[in-house]
Amino acid sequence: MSLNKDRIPLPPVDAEKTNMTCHFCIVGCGYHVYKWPHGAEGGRAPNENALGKDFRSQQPPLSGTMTPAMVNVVEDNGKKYNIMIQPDKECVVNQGLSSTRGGQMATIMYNADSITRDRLKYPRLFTGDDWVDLSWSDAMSVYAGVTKRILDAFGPDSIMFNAFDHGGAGGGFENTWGSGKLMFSALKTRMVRIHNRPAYNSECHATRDMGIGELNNSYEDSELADTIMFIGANAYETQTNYFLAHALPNLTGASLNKKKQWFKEETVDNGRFILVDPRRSLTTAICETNARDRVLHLQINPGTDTALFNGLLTHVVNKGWHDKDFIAQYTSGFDEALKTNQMSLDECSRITGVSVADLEKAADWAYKPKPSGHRPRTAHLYEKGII
Amino acid sequence: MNHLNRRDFIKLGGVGVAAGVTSLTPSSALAKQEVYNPGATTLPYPQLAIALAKSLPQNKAVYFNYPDESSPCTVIRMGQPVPGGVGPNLDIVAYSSLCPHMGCPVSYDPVSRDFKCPCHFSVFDSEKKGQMVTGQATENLPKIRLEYDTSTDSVTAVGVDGLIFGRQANIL
Repeated sequence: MSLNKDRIPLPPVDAEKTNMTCHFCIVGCGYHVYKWPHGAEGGRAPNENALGKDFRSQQPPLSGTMTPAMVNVVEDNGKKYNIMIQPDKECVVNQGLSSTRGGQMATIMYNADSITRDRLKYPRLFTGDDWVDLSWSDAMSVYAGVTKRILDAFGPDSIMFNAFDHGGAGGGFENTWGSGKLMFSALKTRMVRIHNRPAYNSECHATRDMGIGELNNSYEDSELADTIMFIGANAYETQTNYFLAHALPNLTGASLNKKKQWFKEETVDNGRFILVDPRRSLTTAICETNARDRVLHLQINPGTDTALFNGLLTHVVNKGWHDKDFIAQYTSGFDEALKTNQMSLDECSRITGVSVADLEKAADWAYKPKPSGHRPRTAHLYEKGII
Repeated sequence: MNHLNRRDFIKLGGVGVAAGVTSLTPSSALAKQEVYNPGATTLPYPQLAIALAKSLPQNKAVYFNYPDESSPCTVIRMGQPVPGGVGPNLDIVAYSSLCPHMGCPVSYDPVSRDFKCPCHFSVFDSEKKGQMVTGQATENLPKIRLEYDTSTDSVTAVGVDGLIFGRQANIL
């Protein structure tokens, strides 16, 4: 067999074709899976392969993507099959885009001859100065025994979980639901630090209790927003196709006609992005490259985002830009919150390290009524840590 | 594998379409022949003389097409030895100009010395065999295999490492 990676097998016309959602991040990109018996191959003419493309000639840019990382050989019921996993152009989420993660889904399917042969097969225990393999029953005995001793001696809040959670199609829902039941219902600890959106649903644990519904936006909102505030989110790298297919077109003006159609009475323009992040991330660089004067990077000191929003809240209310009717109808404790979190822009600037001018600019972009008198449609996309 | 050996192997009869391999015949002619050769383990890449090494400007992109007219490529004399470089200073490298993600044309940035894709912002390192620095491709930038003839100072393209965007195989 040639070791060259300068050609790949094509699915024959009768290859089994199914849809799947990407295993990686929560964006949920659509992919097509082609599966066919190992050894068979489609031809290069469009009527000879399941992709319907003519590989006797060069395919044009943006017509699709097909790389060596998108093919593999898997075993199913003792038989070997070729697979190809390609992004779905019809899927409204990714619109044919693949990220460097989703684009490699075929590569990470188990194949005893590939990198996946190194996968972990047994639980491991760090003992002495090394990780050692354990049987599942031994591992469960250690886990349950240690947990019970802590529970008995110190109570449930002495057990702190530092937990992953991820949705997508990679089993995240079940994992998160199962681990949530263990942590909250069985052990009854309140000490849980999780990775992703903190809402206690099948995906993740805890902000719904604080009044913020999770995943309560449509991806289309990012195309239509006047301003998007990314808070601790490096969307180009971590929610790539959401950023590329829905947010970036807003910044560059590609979605402006859609805004005009939707909001006929309102002032609309290309989007503005406010990036709240101590880091200068790739997202920052890419946004600035595309529309420097419509991007504001609030490079706050780490851990000062609460101060930032207290300062902005105080400033917005002083300006009278808040929606008093909405607050009266749908919230409680607003005056108390305002009093408790009062912070001048000078104090906010001192704590966050962001200039007063930039704080005012952020408030203008995100909260100042538009020339038409309408409140700006500002999307707040937040994360809670390094992502 | 030693590049010279590979080329000589092909030349010496590993491939039935030897005329197309050893001359600069456009590969469209090759494609039409569709010769089945059970002995071949490599694609029948043409040899294409790109330039004399001394004629290549330093740290500046020079364009050519390889292995056929629909595959744009870039050759650069980096000015210092780099991995995979050929020529008297081991500093000449060449890459496909099509981003392996979705085929947009990458452009060479002489300051950062890498290739940048304008569509989805992938970046490839010209001094590290086309390694993706960041971005959404799943592959490195395909590298054009080059050979250097000391007697004539000629730089010749002889093959491609990696799959060129928009193809099932590098030879159409």
